[in-house]
Amino acid sequence: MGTLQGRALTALLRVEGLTVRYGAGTGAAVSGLDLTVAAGELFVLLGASGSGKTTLLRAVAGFVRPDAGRIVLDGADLSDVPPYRRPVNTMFQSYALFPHMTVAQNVAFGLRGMDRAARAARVASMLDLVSMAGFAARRPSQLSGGQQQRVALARSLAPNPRLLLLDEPLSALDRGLREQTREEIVALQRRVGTAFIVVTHDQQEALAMASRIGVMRDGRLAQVGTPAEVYERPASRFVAEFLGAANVLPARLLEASGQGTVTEVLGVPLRAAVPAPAEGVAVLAIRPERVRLLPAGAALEPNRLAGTLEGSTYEGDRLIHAVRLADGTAMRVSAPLSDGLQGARLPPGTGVVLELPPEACMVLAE
Amino acid sequence: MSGRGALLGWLLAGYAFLYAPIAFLVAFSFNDAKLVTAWAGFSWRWYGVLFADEALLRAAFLSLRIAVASATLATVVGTLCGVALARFGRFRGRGAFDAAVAAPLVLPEVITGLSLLLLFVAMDQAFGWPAGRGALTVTLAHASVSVAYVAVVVRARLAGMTPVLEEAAADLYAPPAEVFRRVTLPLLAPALASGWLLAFTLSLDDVVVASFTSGPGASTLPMVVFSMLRLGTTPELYALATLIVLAVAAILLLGLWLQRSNAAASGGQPIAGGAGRL
Repeated sequence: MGTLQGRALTALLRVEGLTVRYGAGTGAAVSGLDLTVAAGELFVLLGASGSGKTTLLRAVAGFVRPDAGRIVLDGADLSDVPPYRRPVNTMFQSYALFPHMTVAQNVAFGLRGMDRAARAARVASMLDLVSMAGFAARRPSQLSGGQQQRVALARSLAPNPRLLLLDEPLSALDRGLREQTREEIVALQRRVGTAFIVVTHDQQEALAMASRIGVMRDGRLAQVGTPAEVYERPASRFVAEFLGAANVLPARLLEASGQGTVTEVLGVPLRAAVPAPAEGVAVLAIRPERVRLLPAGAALEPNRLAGTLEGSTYEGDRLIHAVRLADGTAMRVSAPLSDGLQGARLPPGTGVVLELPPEACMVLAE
Repeated sequence: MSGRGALLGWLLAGYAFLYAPIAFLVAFSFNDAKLVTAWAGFSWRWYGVLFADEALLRAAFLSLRIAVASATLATVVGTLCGVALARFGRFRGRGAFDAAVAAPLVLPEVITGLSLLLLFVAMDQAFGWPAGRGALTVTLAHASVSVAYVAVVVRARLAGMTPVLEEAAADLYAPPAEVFRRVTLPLLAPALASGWLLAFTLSLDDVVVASFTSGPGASTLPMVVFSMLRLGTTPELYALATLIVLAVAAILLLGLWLQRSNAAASGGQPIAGGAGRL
């Protein structure tokens, strides 16, 4: 699933060398970006604000003109196609429901070349799909945020677009509703089979929803891959730190082969089960939940580092230990509390040994 | 609660300052005497005189016709100007266009009137249209002044409206003309109503521009009233003024009611301004 080979035939959207600038003299919001999205995929564009993800989405929708590059959908170049002729629909972050129309009129807006009966039937089935059947005659102002979100989704899916673009679809919802809606969007996408591109800044959301994630930084894609790939095999320190917490240690390359890498961290040899990056090693990274906390007496073998426990934070389902290594480097260790809290808590100041399993170590370019 | 009592007193004084003259005028329109100085009992007499005064009634209907026509023309042109200024981004000559649209807001009326008179005379001589001065030239003159006010109201409304709704319409396959008709225009409706009412009142109470651009036999109501005043005030004028106050109050209430129901329907904020001049 990691590569697009074998998928090339079903490629739906191809973005080639896309560059977008807002006004002359300013930096590019998107620069020289290449991306392929397959039919039926739920692709998530993940990035901080200002990374260019929304600009990329707006360029695909046709609201911003690229300064260079091409956007190809189903083999047809969209460069000179205005938004109203692109078989692409957008679900806007603010939902952008028409306030002067009812829910049914909103959903019917994009339906063209249908007779009255067919249109009414389509509206009814779309509202049914998002469990809003009883709200057809309401105005958007009479709906809650979550209900507006569903109507916006129904409206953008009603014309049966080739590709649906969702700009931060969950950001306006409160937390409890967000997780539930996230699952509903994924289920809906599976059901209708339309390719979705979802823009978000929330890594949890991206990991949970995506079939593939594109991590954006400074108008470029820092990495594209499945959620597991970008989380467990990040291509750079930036990706590793953007997708969840990571302990990053300075490392010196000792030995590298196709099978694995041996680095030296604080005088201790550390084996990692990944090949070294081409540019030469700068750091070794490991997720807090992959580090094992051993008692002070444990033997100091390779892949083990000694340190002192500075404190633990109780988070209900886990303990977060703050450990300081001999050279002063701070490490975070996440320990699941599947057996409850008893005995898991250690007094601050206790000497500990941290084990960094080779298959959990990531060797990254700075 | 003497503080409260004092506040109430000030409030009443404020209302009196604003409305006592009008109340006085209404009261004396029912006075059974020719003089303002003495109350001689209640009478409908002056309303009878008013409705028998054909010249005055003709002027009133002419004024209404001119006001409706010029307000409608100004609303159409002013809306286009407002949309261009708020939505078309930067285009060649935008600065000059902006200044040209706003100019009538700051130009003294005397100068506007004089320049329009010169223009109409020159046009008449050059290609015979508009032939002479009359209702048509006053209508055109009023429309040209009111365009600025409508454009300001429409532009302000558009500036407060994010373009995302128009983008959403385009995204749902509506070509630009349809986006304007089905989304922009309905959302602009309160601003259009305010702009139209503003233009209507501007036209109805204008003396200066009308005096410059009107011709024989086409005297508007304010022009006739003005010339009557030279012979001293008569209770007939009070009766006329009372009727106008009533009509304006009715239009204001209608406008408020429309705005409120519109705001309730769209969940948006009612638009201030516009009708304020009434």
